[in-house]
Amino acid sequence: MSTATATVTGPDAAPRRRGSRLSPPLLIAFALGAFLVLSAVRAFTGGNDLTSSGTIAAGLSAAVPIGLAGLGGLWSERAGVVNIGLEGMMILGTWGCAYLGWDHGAWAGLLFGTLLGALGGLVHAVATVTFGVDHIISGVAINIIAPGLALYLTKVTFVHYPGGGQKQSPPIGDAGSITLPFSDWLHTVEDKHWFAVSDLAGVLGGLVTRLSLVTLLAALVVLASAWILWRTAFGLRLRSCGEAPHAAESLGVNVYKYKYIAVIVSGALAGLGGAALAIAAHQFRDGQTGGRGFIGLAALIFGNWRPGALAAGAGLFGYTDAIQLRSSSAVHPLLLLMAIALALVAIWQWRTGQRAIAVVAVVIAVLAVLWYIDTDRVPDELVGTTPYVVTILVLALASQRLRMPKADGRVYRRGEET
Amino acid sequence: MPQPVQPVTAGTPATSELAIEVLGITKRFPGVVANADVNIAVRRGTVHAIVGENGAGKSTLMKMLYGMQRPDEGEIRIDGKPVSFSSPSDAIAAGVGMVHQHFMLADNFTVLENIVLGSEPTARGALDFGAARRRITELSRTYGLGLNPDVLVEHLGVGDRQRVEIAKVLYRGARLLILDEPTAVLVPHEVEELFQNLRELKNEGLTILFISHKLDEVISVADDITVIRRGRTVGTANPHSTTPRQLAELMVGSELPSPETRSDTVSDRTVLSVRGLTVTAEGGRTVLDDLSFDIHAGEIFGIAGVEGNGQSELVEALMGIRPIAAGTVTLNARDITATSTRNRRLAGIGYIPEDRQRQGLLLEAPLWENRVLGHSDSAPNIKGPLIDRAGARRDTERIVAEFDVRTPGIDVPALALSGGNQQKLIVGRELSGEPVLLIASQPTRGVDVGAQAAIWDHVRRARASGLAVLLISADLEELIGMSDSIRVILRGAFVAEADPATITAEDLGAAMTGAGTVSGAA
Repeated sequence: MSTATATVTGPDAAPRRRGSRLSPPLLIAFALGAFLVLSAVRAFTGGNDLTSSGTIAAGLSAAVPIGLAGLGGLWSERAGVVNIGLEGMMILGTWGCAYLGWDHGAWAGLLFGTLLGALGGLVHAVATVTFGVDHIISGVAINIIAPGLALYLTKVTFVHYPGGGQKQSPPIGDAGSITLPFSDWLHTVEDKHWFAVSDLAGVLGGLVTRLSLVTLLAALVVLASAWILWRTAFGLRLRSCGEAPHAAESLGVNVYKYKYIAVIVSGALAGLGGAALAIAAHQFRDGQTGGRGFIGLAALIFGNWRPGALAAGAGLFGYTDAIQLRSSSAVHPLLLLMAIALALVAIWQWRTGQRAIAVVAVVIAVLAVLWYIDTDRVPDELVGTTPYVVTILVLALASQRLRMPKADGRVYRRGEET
Repeated sequence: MPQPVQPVTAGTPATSELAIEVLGITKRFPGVVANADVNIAVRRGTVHAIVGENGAGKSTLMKMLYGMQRPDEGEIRIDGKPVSFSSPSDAIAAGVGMVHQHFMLADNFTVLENIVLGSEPTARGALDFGAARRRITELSRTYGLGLNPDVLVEHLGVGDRQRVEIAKVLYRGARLLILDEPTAVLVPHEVEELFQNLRELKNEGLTILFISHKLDEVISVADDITVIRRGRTVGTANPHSTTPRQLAELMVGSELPSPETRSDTVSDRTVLSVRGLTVTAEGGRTVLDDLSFDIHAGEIFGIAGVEGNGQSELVEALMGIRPIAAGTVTLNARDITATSTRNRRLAGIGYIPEDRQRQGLLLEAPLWENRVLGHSDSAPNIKGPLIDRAGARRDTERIVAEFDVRTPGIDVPALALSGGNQQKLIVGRELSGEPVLLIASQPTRGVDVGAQAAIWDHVRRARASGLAVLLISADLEELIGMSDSIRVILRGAFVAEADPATITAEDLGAAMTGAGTVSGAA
């Protein structure tokens, strides 16, 4: 009989896990590394569009609708309501923007588009919060109703005006933009095609040349959301509804009220995103959103339900979107970039013990390299899918350490035990 | 100053200042009277325990004190003044705070965020984290709670989480704390820490209302005790002059049976025979190592061990829920090693799972549907291919009557029952249909003494008629009192054999940790 003392521990000896947030210096190093890889690929392949100021500017404006939709998702999901209806609310926003925008100016359109989006949010809130409808079902319903409604309204309203038609609105005016004085100089440097230096000039040039005021507004909205949700009492209460609504209720937080506010703001932001899309395209067109609401959700997940990382995700998706829109030849070097990124993912995943994912990443990377070597360009039919392929790859490979709000997507009823 | 009414028999303080008084409270629900003429007087600066069986009406009483429900009759006075709460906010405003049995915490929030939520200090529109942190640190120091405001709650153990709950209440300025079954989730040393915290709170002049059915704990921490039975206050007791047994008898209202089963009913007929049972966990770790044993008809075979040493795996392997790596299981001379769980049940195995709410019941379903659960292949639950509603309902009525399940009816959902009554329903269900083997995992965990005695009684009667029982329990008195033979399990292997007629709980506890020696070590 052994006389060893007991070493049995209780089941509640919780392991202390480190948070998954990166420290600022690490983040900067990471961004710098990514930038150098990018410029190396640019120099090696001669695909100058990869870092041209035009691409960056286009990427930025493509990122705005995605980011705003994702931010809408952030508000809603932080309060525990999954909002898959972002796409539909965005469509309402594009139409609303055109409705007032074509003869009252872009900013009036922006406001009305936001309002219509908020209305979509209100419908979702009534369905999910008051009537306890499954969040996905309500969201899908909105996604089905919104485009039909927008198309119907287009036929009713726009057909008789100059430039309007069965499926599109008359042209919308410009929202205004700013250009910083040293942007010409940046363009000069960019055109030299020096390694890293010209790339930096291209990126900066893209950011400061004809920067849309809508983009600035979007950046402000991201900052404001971060401050409101994480620095104010209001934000704490709102987030508590997504983490532990019963606990919140027991402390006197009116969970229904906060969920309503969150979902309406969510719709408003999606509507704003849609309006930004319409302004960038200078009109409303049927099918204009092209799934950007869903990509916004992907950016939200990629960003681990946090505004900063969400914005970075939106930037990534916007960038790939811009590349495929600008020149199909620039998608070809993107294959190489993708291969490098996947190889890095593979190394990292291998080291953290995720062997299967590492192997998958390596296989895709090798295929991408082979494809790159074997061809001169990506077929035009596939070019348009670039942002979606990137979305899937990023989500598949980067989504292991994500943490959604705990009560996200669950129908909450006051007084009911969990 | 209103004269405090002498509510119950004796021991009511007349001179001391009263923090809270409950006078003639009655609360009715459809079909039941949860509280009838309840009277309690709590002195300021004391720990006052309210004890009673599961379902005696303690929780209802607490909900009324905290404003979650309103009494139909009677009066609640705080500091001598009558109050009427229509929501918990009113109760909080009056200085009453509740520490819930199930923690109400957001895991992904810091301690600070959890505490200030709902009454946040603000400065210039933003949450004033600095002020909140100072306030919490100060609270933590004053009452010895040892909280770090900036840790995520998910990193905290159960004891710390409970202290966060207490801090939440203190932060809101509560002078009267209601703790609902606070020790149910704690391990012994955490219980001791909690009691230390309670003493410090008491020393600071706070009043504590402590709900429990664990009588030894109540006696060790309380200054006064009020006993509730079937919704009525039946008496008060002085913890210094009362034994747990006297208290228990007051609680149950009759002489207590003990878990003794001394009459020998063990026969020669082997019901369950296990040979070389080995189970490995994912990753190849051995969780059950070559176990062999026999259980005979009329025998209760007890397994003692610190939780997590393979008990759950053994039960799941025997039930066919968990795949086994090696070994054979034979039931009544029939090899059932490769038989499905359903067929094992059909072959006559009854199963009382350790977690009644997760494994034993459909909480949302009515009692009679829960009766059918797991027995949907046999009478009285089926008629041809269809469920026999009438038969199942009739038999549920029988279980409710025979096993004294206290419920307003068989159509209420299982979650409406208290834990002890849920357990009695499960025991009743599993003993129906003449099982040959009962696997009972923690059959009386979290169950009050009255229900415990009833469950023991039923198991004992079934044993007398030839049932073989595998009993796994953390309650060593139960194990020793009920079992005909005991094995001690440690890291997946039997390390000792004990004779229940001679062994003491202390020796058995020592053997469970691998420290002691018992006769016939394996």
